[in-house]
Amino acid sequence: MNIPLIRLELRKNRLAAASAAAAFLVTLPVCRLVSSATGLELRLSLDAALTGWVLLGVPLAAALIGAASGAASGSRDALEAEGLLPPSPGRRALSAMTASLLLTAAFAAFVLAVGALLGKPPAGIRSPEQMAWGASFWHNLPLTPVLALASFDVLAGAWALSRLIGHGVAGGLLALLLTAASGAGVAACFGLELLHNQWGASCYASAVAIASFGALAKVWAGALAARWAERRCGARILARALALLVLPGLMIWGRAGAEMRMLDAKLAPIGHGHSFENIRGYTAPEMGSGAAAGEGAVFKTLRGGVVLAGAAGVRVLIPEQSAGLSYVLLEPFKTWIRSAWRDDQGVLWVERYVSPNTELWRVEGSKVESLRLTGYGSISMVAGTPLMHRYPGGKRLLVARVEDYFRRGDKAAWFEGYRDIVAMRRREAGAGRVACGGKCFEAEGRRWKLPGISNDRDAVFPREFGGRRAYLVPVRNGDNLSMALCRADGSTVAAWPGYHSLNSLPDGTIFSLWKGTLWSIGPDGTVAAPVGLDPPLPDSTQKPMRIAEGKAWLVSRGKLTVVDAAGRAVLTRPLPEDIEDAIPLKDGFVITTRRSAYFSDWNGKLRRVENPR
Amino acid sequence: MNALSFRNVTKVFGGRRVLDGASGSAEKGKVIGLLGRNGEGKTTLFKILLDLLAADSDEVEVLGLRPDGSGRIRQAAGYIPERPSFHSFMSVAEVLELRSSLYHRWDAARAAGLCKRLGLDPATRLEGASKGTLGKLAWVCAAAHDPALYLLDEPTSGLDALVREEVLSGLVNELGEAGKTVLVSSHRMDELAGLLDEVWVMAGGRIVAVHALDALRADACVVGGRLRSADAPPAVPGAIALGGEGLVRSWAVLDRAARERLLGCGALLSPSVEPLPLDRAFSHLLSLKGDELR
Repeated sequence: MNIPLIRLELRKNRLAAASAAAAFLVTLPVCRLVSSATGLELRLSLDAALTGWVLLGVPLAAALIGAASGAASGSRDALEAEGLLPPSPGRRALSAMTASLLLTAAFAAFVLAVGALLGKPPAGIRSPEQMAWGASFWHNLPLTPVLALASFDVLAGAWALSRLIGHGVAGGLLALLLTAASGAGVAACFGLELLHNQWGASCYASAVAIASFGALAKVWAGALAARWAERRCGARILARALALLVLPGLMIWGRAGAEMRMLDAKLAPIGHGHSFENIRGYTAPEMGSGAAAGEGAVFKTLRGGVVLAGAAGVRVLIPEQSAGLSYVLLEPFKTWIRSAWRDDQGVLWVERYVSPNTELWRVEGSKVESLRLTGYGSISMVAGTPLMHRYPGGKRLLVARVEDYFRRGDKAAWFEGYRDIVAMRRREAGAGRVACGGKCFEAEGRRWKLPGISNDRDAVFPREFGGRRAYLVPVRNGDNLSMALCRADGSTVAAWPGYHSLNSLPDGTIFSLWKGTLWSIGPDGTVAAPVGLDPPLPDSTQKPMRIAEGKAWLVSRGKLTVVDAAGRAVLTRPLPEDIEDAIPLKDGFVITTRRSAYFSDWNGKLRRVENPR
Repeated sequence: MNALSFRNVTKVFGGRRVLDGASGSAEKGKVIGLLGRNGEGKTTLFKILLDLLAADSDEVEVLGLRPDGSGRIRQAAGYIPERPSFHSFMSVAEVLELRSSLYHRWDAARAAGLCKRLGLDPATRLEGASKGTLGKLAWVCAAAHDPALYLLDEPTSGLDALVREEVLSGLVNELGEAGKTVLVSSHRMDELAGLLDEVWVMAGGRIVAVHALDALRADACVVGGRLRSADAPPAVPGAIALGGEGLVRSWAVLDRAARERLLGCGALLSPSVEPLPLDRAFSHLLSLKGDELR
């Protein structure tokens, strides 16, 4: 760049900038005419015109000024007058583009200043009509940085192409096309990130970065174009200039494509994104004690498929909906997995919404069936059995089991008595209650004396240890809280202090991790000695995956730690830092990160699991 | 030490080979005339030497610099194009001001002195300016940064007789005396005859002959005579057949060796040798194709 040359270029190209400014000024009286003819408030009419100038006029003016300058730089007069000067063609091109940029910036500043004076301030909006029309100038001002980048890009492209082909109009139009293509790619990335952020989509910043470098690359292309056209220096320079013009757009679309491929390959927990219900990490063991419990974690794909991922790989349970690219904007909102669960019999149920209908899928081993449902409300789990609700006329109805509904289709009988149904289900499941004023617990006609007082009024459902039922009941002894285990042999034992939540592992182990101490009851009902983790894992993401053979496998952020009965780490393996969830299975565990999912065996050996589409 | 040298310079425009392996070198301080007909590649050669055009294949060095597209050579050399052109919306003073900011060694006093000497008013607007005004301004622009090398492509084109005299006997002469290297092309090379050290003849995209002016002045002659036999008129390299009637023929001969070859071939009866004026020698050089001189 060179100041005297920039001054020269400003002088040469002032006509193009003046033309743009004149066209802008002409729209102002036109707005008055439109206002008179339609009765629309003048300020609103002006506001709409000013918005148009900000959104479209400035980029178009940039194309005009850039193309005019580029074409003029290649004219015979300019070459004869300037070609002999010491600055290289490239430096003269940079000076010309700088001058064009300054003129465009001055024009944009002029438009913005007039808009600030004449545009309808947001505070003045009163009527719905004004809401529809008004204050669009002010409302669109946040787009200014994006428009500035687009204007810069189109200006540089218009200059380079006009210089390259020696025709201002053709160069300007081609540049607009290139910028529109890049802009569409950036918009696609923006849309992907906006719509699929929960799935880990994050390509907008990189697309904007590529677009920014792309605009600079077009400046470079302009310099190369000038060098090629002026010095007649061969096809390699021309190829480089063309590559710099076209590659940024291709790279942006490549980035968007890579993100789409990532999204397509990704397995997300059920309820993760695009779901109205925040149901996360439903896994086989949590859903019941069916034969398939712990064999894999249930995931959904972006296009509405459901897979089971585990040690044996990834198995498609429910196929995807769409093979097209329309899902970028619409498909995820037309198709999503609402929930998935496994019932007492080990049957996997999946509730998939495919606009405007809902499908209920039943997966039992290799047998997959589906039923399309219309007009039903929601499903809840009671003691391992899914119960279906319906709300005709705002009144809740209930069908006893989803299984029944599935078998009978829409002709299923609906029951009004929600409480009765729930009570029935509790009875069937063998639920018990605290009795004797809180001193004992009763279930299925048997009674246990509690080691304290229990105030729990809710039903307590049994858990199976070694094929026999037992109950975990919260009790209080003075200020001390604990969980009492009421065994099938009639004995009662305090399992661990505190009321904190219970968790289960695929082999039937129940555990509680509380303040750095791991409490557990083995699959056979043996209460294990507490394990104090020394030192306690530093973050709250720690989660036991397995408790067996006197050791515990714990996943925390960035690592798998195996501790012995004394709480000492005997094995440490690195894991991804950005773990979102860890799901224990029989032969290992599955972890999900923002952008991917992995299966790990008990030695921490990772294998990526992806959508097998 | 050479001020410029080039070897095997080639340039093709749209399939037409404008320069076809041109080679040459000029010692510092030499004033060289580049002689060639229209379209023989003189201007293209100037542009390649000035790094305005990239040669397709070349080995070029100008004032110790190689063409790299950077414009360093133009910073160090002065050039007068065949058709000087400037922005028509500028005045002479504005053109000079712009150039003063672009040339590292621009001498404003020298520019003002040249304007005065050539009768160029700095206030002159260039819109609709005469060819002579543009030519004078080109001279000022080429010389104001006092370059070591001047490339002059038809430097007196469009100038009136008085100014042309001033340019030739004044400026170019002074350049030669100041030890500047000058490569000048002109269709009126005879005007420059007293200033030149060498003449390069360009034909078919190549430098096909180099003549020292003193030798040319001494050796160029017209050899005439009667042929011994009409069947086989002698074909002597360097001897240009001028025609004749019947057995009486004449040749323009531009160097001593060619003259000796022609006289010694025995084809002529009672040959005559007459001096060839420089203007006619230049004309004969211009009329030649490259292969006739080999």
